[in-house]
Amino acid sequence: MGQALLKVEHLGISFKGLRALDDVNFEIPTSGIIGLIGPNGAGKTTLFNLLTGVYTPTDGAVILDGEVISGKGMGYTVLHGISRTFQNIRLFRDMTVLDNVKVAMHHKMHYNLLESLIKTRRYWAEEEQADREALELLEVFGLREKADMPASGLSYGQQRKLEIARALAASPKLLLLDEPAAGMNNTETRDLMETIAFIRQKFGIAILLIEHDMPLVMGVCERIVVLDYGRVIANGTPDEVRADPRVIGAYLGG
Amino acid sequence: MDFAQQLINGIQLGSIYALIAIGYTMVYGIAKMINFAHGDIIMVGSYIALMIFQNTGLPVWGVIAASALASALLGMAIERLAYKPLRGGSRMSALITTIGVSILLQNVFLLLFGSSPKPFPAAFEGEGFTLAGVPVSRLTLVTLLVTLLLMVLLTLFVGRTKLGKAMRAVSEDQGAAQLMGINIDTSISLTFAIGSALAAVAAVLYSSTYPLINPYMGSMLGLKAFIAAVIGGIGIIPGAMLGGFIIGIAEALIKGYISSALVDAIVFSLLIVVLIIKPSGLLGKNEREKV
Repeated sequence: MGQALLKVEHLGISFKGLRALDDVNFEIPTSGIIGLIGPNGAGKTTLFNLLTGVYTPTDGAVILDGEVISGKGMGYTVLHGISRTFQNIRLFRDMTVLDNVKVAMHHKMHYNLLESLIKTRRYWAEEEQADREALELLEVFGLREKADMPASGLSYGQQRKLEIARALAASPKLLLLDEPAAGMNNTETRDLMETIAFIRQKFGIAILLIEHDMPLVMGVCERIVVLDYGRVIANGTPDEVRADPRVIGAYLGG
Repeated sequence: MDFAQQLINGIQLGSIYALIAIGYTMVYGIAKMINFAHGDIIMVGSYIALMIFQNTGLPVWGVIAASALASALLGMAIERLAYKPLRGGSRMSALITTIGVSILLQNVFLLLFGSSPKPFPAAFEGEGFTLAGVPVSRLTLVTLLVTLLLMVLLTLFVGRTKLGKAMRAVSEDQGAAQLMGINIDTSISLTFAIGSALAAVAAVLYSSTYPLINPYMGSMLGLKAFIAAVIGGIGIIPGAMLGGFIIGIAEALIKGYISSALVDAIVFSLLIVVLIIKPSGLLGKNEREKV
């Protein structure tokens, strides 16, 4: 475990008087895997939206590599190293599997409109480089053979994997996974656990994982942050969290 | 022979509708709004071309290029000033704003040039060739070739380049596209620029065919092209091309064989029929409502 990559400090947000998150604090170390759990409506997705710049916090700050990134918008966060997947899959369904990944590499490609029309060397060089990187990523997820298919033609499990590949294509330092195992069967979930562990090892990035599948979270995460009613009620190792009476209370409604 | 002649007329008119329809469909696909000022961009494009013809010795291709460039800038400026501030608001406000911009453009040009129609120079005069006994004028040939060329370029641009792919990504899922680092402002500006430039090219081709231009010429032309876009499936570029040709050919055949007075009535009925049978348009997919 290295030093903190991401720091969430006193983060809070209100929507028309409704306090969705209140005084949330936690850290994500460089290349750490952190789980984010909590009952429905606890504020997990809201927290993701704050981390990715979709929302601007009412209080507090999100600090990435020592720089405050909250309130700077979605474009800023992705360019500075946070990318995400979605709870309900949001691929570009009509585009090919390859293009879905390449879209997330656009900020690394610099050719302009004119160059794309007259097909300069830079255009070809950058397109080929992007193709190569995208295909390598697809290889990791076993999707290379499907590169030219429209994304809508993939199976559900493959679509989930493609979302992760697309998020990785932006070269993030921190990857946010929003319920990646939702709708998966046991085999697919186990497969996913291995993939997540592999990604962390291969790309050396940090991962924040929202998940309801407890065996998955407990098995793969080093630390777990538990949210309930917009507040952090526990933050510790899987064993500590499992034994925490407040967590048990939140889940059992005690 | 008469049928072949009508068909060729229809293809010529259809090319023009198709170029204009692309603008409607792209703006709808990406900004999710119907830009009723698009028809008036055609009118502006015609007047700009006329001004350049009258005041410079530029050859006709230069005039088309200059008019397309000026219209593209105008389209981008309109988006930035009038539509962008309403982004994220209700769709109805955006729709009404486009009607407002349409009326504004018509009245500005009415003030500048008066209401009397102005003659447009014959840009592509001359003999073309004869196809199976039917004469095809140079203008017809140019119209068709220019349209096909622009369609091929646009298809390659949207399908192969990163800016084009970014536009498709924005049209599929704006939020996800932003989170992939795509600048949606650039994509939307570019959409307006391309749509307006194509409209200006269509304007020169149209005004060369029907050489009297006036400040209201864009309304009916725009409406027809809008119908073409809806018939083909709004938001889908090949649909706009198909719809344009269908409307153009249908009009020519109706004029030739039924009655020129009934053209508009029949074309609008065609729209109603398509909307009843296939509401998403000929190439449209059934809408998936996202929850």
